[in-house]
Amino acid sequence: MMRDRLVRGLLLLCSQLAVRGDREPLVGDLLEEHAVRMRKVGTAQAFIWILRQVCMSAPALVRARLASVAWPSTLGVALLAWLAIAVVETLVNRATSAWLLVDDAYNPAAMFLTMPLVVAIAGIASRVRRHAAFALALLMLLAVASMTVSAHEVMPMWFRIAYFVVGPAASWMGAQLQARLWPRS
Amino acid sequence: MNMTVTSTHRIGHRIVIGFRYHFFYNTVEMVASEEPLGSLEHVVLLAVMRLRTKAYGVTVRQEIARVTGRDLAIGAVYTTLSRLESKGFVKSRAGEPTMERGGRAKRYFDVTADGRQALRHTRDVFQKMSAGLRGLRGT
Repeated sequence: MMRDRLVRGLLLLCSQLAVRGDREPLVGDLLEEHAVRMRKVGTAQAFIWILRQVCMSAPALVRARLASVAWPSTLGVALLAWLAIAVVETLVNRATSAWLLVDDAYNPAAMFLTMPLVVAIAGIASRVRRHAAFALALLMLLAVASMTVSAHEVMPMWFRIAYFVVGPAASWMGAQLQARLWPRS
Repeated sequence: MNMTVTSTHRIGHRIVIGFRYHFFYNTVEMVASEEPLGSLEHVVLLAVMRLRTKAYGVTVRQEIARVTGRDLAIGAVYTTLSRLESKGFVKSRAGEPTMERGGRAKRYFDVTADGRQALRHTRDVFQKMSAGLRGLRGT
């Protein structure tokens, strides 16, 4: 039972790494050969085989995936989205300071209100360029990491952790939202 | 008079542009079919050719393992097949979905005329390069 779940997880990972057109036949091929091996050499050996196949396939699939993306325009859209998020964040921070009379830069209410807007912006970016939300999440992670390393002021730990999680998570949610609302043909 | 000169000039210009396009595309086509295949591309293309109408991910991987003893990752096989398809050396068609594959369709590959030409070219290059080399004679 546990092994079945692991196999499904590995197949999901493999299909996410592959380019769109290769997903179905690739996963089908893995399943077909896995089934044959299960009959011939048993479940444990078949599981080791599929684990090895996914690990060995990952570098080639990632390389092909990266090569298939038009990076300059994707990065441009991600940067624009990032700029939009910075503007939205500033406005929300000011609004919450004025309305809630909170004079703290580390305001959880502002973060809570900003998140759906980040999801929406990431969704729009993902609509313009398919991988823009992924690039946006990477940009956010890099920005937070560099801020954490270089900032002289003492930030609360919850704020650091939240920023590491909230931005990329919101970006991922935006991409998922886009895929569900306006699926590409 | 002026109009005739202009139209003659236009026709001449079109011929020049047409010639340039013809030359450009012929050059590109020549480069694409005469570009030597990478070692993995070569092996995968040969496997597809050996398998004739039965070439899909599983059979290509198994054929390479059977003949060369090289256990390739299925991901490497697929990325190579996609590259060969984008170069026009193979073409793919959807196959039948089966229960064993979780209802997923197979993707069969066939070698194109350009693919056969690329294989011939690569074989010629290797033959020319290795001709007369003493260290390669015998077993």
